[in-house]
Amino acid sequence: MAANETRSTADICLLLEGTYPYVSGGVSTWVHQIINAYPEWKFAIFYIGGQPDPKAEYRYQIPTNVVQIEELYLFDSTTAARGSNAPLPANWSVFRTALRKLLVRLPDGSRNDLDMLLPLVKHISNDESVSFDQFWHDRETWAVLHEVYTRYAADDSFLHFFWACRYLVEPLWKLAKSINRIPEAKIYHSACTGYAGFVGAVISRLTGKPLLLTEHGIYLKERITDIYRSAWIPEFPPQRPLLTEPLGSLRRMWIRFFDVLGRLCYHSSADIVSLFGKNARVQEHFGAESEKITIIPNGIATEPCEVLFEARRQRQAENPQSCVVGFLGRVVSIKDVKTLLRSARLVCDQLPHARFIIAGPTAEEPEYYQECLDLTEQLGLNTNVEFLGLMKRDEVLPLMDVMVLTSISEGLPFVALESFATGVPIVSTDVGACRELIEGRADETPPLGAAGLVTEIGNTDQIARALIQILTDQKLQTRMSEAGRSRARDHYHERHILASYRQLYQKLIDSPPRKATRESVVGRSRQQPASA
Amino acid sequence: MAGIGFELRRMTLKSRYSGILRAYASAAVISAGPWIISIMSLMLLTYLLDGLLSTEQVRLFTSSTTHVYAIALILAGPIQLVLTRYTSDCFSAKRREAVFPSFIGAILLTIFVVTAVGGLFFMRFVPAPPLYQIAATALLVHVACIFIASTFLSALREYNRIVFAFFIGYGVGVAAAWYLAKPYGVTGAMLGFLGGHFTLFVLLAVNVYREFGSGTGSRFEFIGAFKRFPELMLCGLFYNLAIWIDKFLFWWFSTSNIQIAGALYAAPDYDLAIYLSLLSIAPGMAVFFLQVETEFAERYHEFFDAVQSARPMREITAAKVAIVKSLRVGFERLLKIQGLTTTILVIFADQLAGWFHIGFVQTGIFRITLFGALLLVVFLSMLTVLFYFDDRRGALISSFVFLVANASLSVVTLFQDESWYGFGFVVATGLALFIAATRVNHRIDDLEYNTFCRNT
Repeated sequence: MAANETRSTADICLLLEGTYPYVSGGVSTWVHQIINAYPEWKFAIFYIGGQPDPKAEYRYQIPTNVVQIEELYLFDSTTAARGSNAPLPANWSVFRTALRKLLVRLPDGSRNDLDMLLPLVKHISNDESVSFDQFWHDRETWAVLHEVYTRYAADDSFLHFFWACRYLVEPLWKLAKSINRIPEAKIYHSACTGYAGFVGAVISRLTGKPLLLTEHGIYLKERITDIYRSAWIPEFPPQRPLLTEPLGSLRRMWIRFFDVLGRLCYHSSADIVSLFGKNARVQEHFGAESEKITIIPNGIATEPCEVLFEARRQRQAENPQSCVVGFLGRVVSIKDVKTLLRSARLVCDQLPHARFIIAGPTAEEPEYYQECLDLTEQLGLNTNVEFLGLMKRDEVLPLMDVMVLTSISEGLPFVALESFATGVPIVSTDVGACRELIEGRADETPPLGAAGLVTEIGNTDQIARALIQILTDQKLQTRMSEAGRSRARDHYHERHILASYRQLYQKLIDSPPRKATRESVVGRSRQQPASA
Repeated sequence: MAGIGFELRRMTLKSRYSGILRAYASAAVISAGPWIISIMSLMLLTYLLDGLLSTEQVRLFTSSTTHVYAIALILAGPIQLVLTRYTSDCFSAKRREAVFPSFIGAILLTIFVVTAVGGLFFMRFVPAPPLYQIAATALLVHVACIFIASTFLSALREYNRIVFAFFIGYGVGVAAAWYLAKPYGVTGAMLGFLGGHFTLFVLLAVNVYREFGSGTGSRFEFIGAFKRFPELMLCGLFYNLAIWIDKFLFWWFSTSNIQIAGALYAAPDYDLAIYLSLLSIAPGMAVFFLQVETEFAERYHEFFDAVQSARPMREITAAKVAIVKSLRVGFERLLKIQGLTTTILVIFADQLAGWFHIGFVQTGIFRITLFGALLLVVFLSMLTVLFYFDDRRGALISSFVFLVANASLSVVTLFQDESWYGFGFVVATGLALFIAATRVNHRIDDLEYNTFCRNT
């Protein structure tokens, strides 16, 4: 290690987009776990947010080994000063030529793209005087846009092309502008592709420091879903529609944009971590090199759940007839609580004394919550279904005989692991790692058997049947409960996971540095000790 | 799940491209309309008064009223252009209720400014009976207020009402001046003429009230528009000053000038020639006005519709080409009609001179200034187009050049003999026209770029 290294220089810089420390959830839980696990390493955080929220607060007690937190907001409209319409300085003609070359050949996320992007990033970060508006309203920028438009989108609305391009480019501009604010570190570790992954790719190339990527979900897949569903992208059916391209050109453009960002990140990462096998294959599909991918799932400390397991067993011994189905999570549309309620109706038709407890915060989508309450009323489930609101995990888990997960999208949910550790079998839709969790990985030795049942997404019949089966068959329930506990303990204990990351971090910290290309980036960021 | 990826702002584009202000497009034309009516009624009145009053008194009367119009235009012009912009912004922001209070505010402002300047001029520098001085000052205030009021009505496209009001007002004015001139001399004529203007102003004000109601809001909010659009204010000032500067110079410095009373001068050689030739632009003005109001305005809105309704660029460009075509047709018609009018007038200048008892020298000047008037009407049209494209800077530059060139070249011709008179005006108008036309060309070339990158 260099002798002149200052006390506060971080070992690992986490690149976090819209998560820790401001937003709670799976990724943030994992981040917090990782930072706390390695007190001997110093962490820095580069947080990328959308719009700054003055009321936002840290959701976590920041560990003392976090030495620096930098924040950047990409859709912050308050800082957007009205740019002057002055023409760009003469030395920007190089920039425009490079930009034109990059755009006209349509970026595909290859290394070649990154090579072409780096000079642009350097240019933007070095020239403080030019605002985005000034650049965007420059005549030559207009000419470049016009050329790209004429070549690739001449049949489409120019208005929307123009604004879509602006919305694509402006965040990248802001990222490039603040590239010097990214904390110095020995490794950069991004928790997703997207903007954070893009920054990771750039900073890794500039400094020669390795980039590590851990993807909990699949960023691109989530964006594609967003893009399909977003109502604000106007739809212009292509003039000569093809069966294979049902999307309007603007949606294709957006998807392509995030695809390119993803590929840049995959290609620049030294290692790619996936939480489970299915996601690893999706990453490969989206351009990740398979030899880089390691699977490291989420893990929990199972020991604290032993008490809960005992509590559950006692409760069941006192009341052998108990039929309690539990849901633990935010009441939001992505969790598809409505399907849960419809299944509950079917279950209650057969088991009238069955109870459903829905625990979790309801404030995030108040309209959706209200709709769920209305649906409960309509289905006549008022006596069977209970919305408990935000509850402590330890209070709710022992109350459940079966846990149900009806999500339409998941990564590797911590709640499932906790449920297993408490011995609660799970009925889950086939999303994310759920099948792998419930049925066990194909290479599991020894095979532990099923810890629940997997159903199709939104299939109320299947979900109800699975719930009834587990609730009524006491032997099956016990067998699944044991399988879940063993699986959590043997394969998803945080001890294993943290050991894997320690190994990975150590390997990357020790890896010989690549040639840095950062020499022209000036003005290193000031170092700030983080105050929790 | 990680990622902010998509919390992008909704694209609210509609409001950004809502073309600009149909309303103030014809401001230049509108301010020219009343000015033609005023010259004509003044000439008629001069003819009528000729038999009733002494030559000196008639001269005092015509010279006073001419100065009244000149000063009123110069003072009201800047307010007028800014006001038109302000009211049309009120329209597009759907704030009709703010219009009437600003009308009251604008009238108060005008009265204040014009009374100060006009009072000083007529009370201090024009030796005449006090009642005459007061009447002349009052006339000046009325004329300026009439310009302001017609601005508000023209924003509504109520040309018929404006013309009707002017017709009634001037009818009353000419009749009353003629009736009162007999018993009370030149003061009576002035008071009668004032009465006509009072009638006219009341008619216009009633129309404004009928259209907008009393409304709500601050009376002086519009003052802020002067800060936002200083180019418009200056353009209004420079243009109107430029129109009159050569007349002032000829009144004061030409060898054949006459001192009427105190600061009131006249230059008979030059005056009648240039007034007559300015009247000649009526046909061209009408033609272009019609074209702008119909063809051009429609094409113009189709262009912004094409942008807003998210058409491909080639359709936007096609819409622009349609604008260019409509402008070309407009200017062609303008040149044909005005060219024909001017040619006929040049050829028959001698006969005309006979009817109006114009001398030989004046006929020569008349022939020259006819060309100036031809160029002026084209310049005015270009200015209108610049307002449409919101090129306030272009309008400012060309009217400034008009002012400087007209002033300096008129001075140059003053040092020559009478055969040079009028050339200054012709060259200055030509220069201003050239600059305005160049600006229009640039503006059209860059229309797409400006729409997307400058109007936002």
